[in-house]
Amino acid sequence: MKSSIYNICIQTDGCNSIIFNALKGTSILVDSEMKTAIESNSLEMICPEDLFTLVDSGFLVEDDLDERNVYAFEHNQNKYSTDISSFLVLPTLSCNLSCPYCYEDSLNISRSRSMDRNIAENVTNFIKNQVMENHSRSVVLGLYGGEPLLESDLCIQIAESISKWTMSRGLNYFSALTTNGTMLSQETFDKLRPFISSVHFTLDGPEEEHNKMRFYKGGRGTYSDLMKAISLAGESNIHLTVRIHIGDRTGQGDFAKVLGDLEAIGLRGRPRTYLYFMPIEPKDECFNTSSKKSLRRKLKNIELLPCIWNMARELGWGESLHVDAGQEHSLLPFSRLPCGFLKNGCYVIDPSARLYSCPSVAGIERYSVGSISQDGTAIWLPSYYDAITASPTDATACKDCSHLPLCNGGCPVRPSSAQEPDGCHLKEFYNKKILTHLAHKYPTLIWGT
Amino acid sequence: MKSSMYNLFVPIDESEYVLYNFLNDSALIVDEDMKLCIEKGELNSSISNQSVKETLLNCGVIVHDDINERKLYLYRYNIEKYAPSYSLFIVLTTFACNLSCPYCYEGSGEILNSSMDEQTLLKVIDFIKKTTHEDGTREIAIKLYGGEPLLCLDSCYAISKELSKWGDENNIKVNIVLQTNGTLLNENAVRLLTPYLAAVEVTLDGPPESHNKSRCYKNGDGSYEDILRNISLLAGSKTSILLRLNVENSDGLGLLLDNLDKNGLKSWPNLSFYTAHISYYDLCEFFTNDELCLKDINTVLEIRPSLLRVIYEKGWQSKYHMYNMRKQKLVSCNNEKRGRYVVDPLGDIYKCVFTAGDKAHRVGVIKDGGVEWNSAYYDILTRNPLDMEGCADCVYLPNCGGGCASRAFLNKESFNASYCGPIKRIMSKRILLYLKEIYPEKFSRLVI
Ligand code: SF4
Ligand code: SF4
Ligand code: SF4
Ligand code: SF4
Repeated sequence: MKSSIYNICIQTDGCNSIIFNALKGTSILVDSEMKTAIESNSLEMICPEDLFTLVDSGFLVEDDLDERNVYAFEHNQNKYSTDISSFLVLPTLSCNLSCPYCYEDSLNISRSRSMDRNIAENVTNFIKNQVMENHSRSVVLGLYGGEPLLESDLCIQIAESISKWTMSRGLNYFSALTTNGTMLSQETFDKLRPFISSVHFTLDGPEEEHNKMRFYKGGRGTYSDLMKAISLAGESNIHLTVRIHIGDRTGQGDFAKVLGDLEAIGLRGRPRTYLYFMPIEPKDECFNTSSKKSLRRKLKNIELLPCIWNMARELGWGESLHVDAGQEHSLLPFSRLPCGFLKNGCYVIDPSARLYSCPSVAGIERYSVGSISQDGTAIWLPSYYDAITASPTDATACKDCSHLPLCNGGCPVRPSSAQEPDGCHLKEFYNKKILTHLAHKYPTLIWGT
Repeated sequence: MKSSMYNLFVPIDESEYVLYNFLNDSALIVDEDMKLCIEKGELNSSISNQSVKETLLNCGVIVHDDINERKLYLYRYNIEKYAPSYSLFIVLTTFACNLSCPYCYEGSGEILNSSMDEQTLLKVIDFIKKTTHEDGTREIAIKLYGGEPLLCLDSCYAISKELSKWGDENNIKVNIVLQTNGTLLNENAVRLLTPYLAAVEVTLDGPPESHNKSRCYKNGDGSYEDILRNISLLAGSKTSILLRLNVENSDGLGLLLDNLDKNGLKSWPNLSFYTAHISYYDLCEFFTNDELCLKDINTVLEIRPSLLRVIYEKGWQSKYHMYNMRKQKLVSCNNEKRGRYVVDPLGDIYKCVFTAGDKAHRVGVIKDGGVEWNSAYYDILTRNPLDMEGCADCVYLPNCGGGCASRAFLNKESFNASYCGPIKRIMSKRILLYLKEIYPEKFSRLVI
């Protein structure tokens, strides 16, 4: 037996520490003696019962096991397996709003391009071809933009075609429309409803805050229209996701107000309703995870989340929160990929049928990694192969890092934080996440500072 | 533009070469000048004709400067390895056998002879269900294997019945194949199993006399007649009968086919066959030794045209599964991929059927709560040819994949090592024979 290389030890007070195993997602509270025994591999000091627990939870592993291979296996399996094929389609890059933080704006995308019907046809053919080639059991279709409902006919055309096709093949189908809500009329919704499974809305805090951020070109805020749209969708049995942004100045009371408004339109206790809270990130956040400034902001935001969750729970929204470790919007989602987009079987498609490995650059030709040909097949550029085969297990700084199974090396297409001259800041970020998660899950434990 | 890393020039006469590109699986005929030009990478200065250039580009012989072909290979390799279209479970219900074939690698069930007990059986069924869900595959193949699986008819029946039902309920296609020596395939077995079986695979070791010499009961009696009588129970049923015909040469095959014809097998609509030639008939050629392996592959290539001739002459071609000489091997062996499992009677898991029972090759153990993978599993699955000695610069890589992992382990004590075997010595011949087969006129004068 030996100690796992993925044990992360975080001191909680003078004598106790938490050891968190990043590969297994397990944690244990230990005293300083046990901590030393594990850290220094002095296992003879540990009694058989404890030894069993430690092995069972992955803190100790067999001598001949190279855990880096376990991680590499899980990483590759996640990256290359295609039991699910997912397609994020941007029928248009245009938007009827002008949110100050919208990255599409900051990246100078020409905002008028929409997909033409022939391209939409190619795209649907591509989706079908690719699903067959991938031998997938499930198909996920995302309609995204810009504001996709500016091209609602295209949305219907694509979703209808894929939905019927998957049905005829006995494949699972899930599709999500991400919209700002301002263009969702009853008529549009009724036409789309048979072919989509879920609608994603975003609220930028309570009415005043939201209206400051999300307004029509003339300046009028969108909050009340958005609420109408949510309510409209909520009357059906569709899956709903509401993302609530945490701004710099939003306080507890503000969230209570938002939840009150959502309750007024009947969302509290509604089945198939999913709520999550996200700090508003600067325009290019994904790109800048490595800066110290960004780290400080992130650390602050992490602390906020449990308070918000608790409040939401007290107000009766518990069933709509999915914040346990392992769930997508929890503090510890346990993915083996740094980013869900750079993955075999995942395709981001812009209105010109170009392919991207990341939605935040979709529409900017120089970042495209391939395109869909007339006959509905993908033509990848060399850069795609370089990007997708890159693995954090090859990066000098990351390959032996104890945090690798949590962090996965950071954004795969941007310079890694691990290359920062004064060392990688992300470890601190993840330590904070671990502690915050545990404090939320086990509130009765006594925590040091 | 630059030349591909995966070009091989095979001389066909004094002045011409077949230029085969392994990554693109394409072939061209080029002269000495063109060969030099491509080898030296003097593409812009020497190849002025635009349409020639385009052809070379389309064939992958020359590639754009910014492409890293190793990455392209690795991408395809990983997809093939990690995104299998189906899961395969080879279940050894027992190590025991009622025959004693002289070449049997399992020692005719005399070295290892345990059978699966009921508790293990349930765990194995559970393992198959869970693992299929984890693999996310829509289709699974189960091979009932041994020893002689029909010595444990009950286990075969339980697995077939339970997993067929489960497949129906879960919209998963389940193909069950019984690999048997055929001697125990009696009416009872047929009645119990055929509702679930996609196919039964049986081996004949050449015409009756030679078969009876090698595939005999423990008392020395031959099994040919019994096998033919037994499989006739399946004639015309929904279950396919797949015969593996082990043959030394075309004469032997001719005699065997005549005998099968005489016994009426030619008219069975559900019968098909393939041919094999291996010194150790029950082993994969890569698992013997390099010289034998080379000899066997050579023989297979050499006798192929004459086997084909006999098969056509005797009118069996519609039942023949021809070995595909052209198959690319991005990953060295099907067993190395994710979603391939060999389960032995003790509930131990292996990757390769020829190593089953040898604990040094074991990759996991089925326990009550699920399966426990060990380091060998992760070592094999994360095997990356680009990190192995010689492979990163090897022209054969897209058709070799770094060689058999089990052999690498035996030779170098590591799964993460290359094993060339006879690959480098056989590839040119294979390419030429293949070309001669599909372009007989063009290569009629070529002696290989
Ligand atoms: S980016 Fe930093 S925290 Fe993440 S794996 Fe690399 S070194 Fe570790
Ligand atoms: S690749 Fe992923 S992590 Fe990187 S910027 Fe895009 S979405 Fe963010
Ligand atoms: S692992 Fe090796 S011995 Fe086993 S089947 Fe594959 S090539 Fe043959
Ligand atoms: S195992 Fe040998 S023949 Fe195969 S790719 Fe590696 S070096 Fe080449």
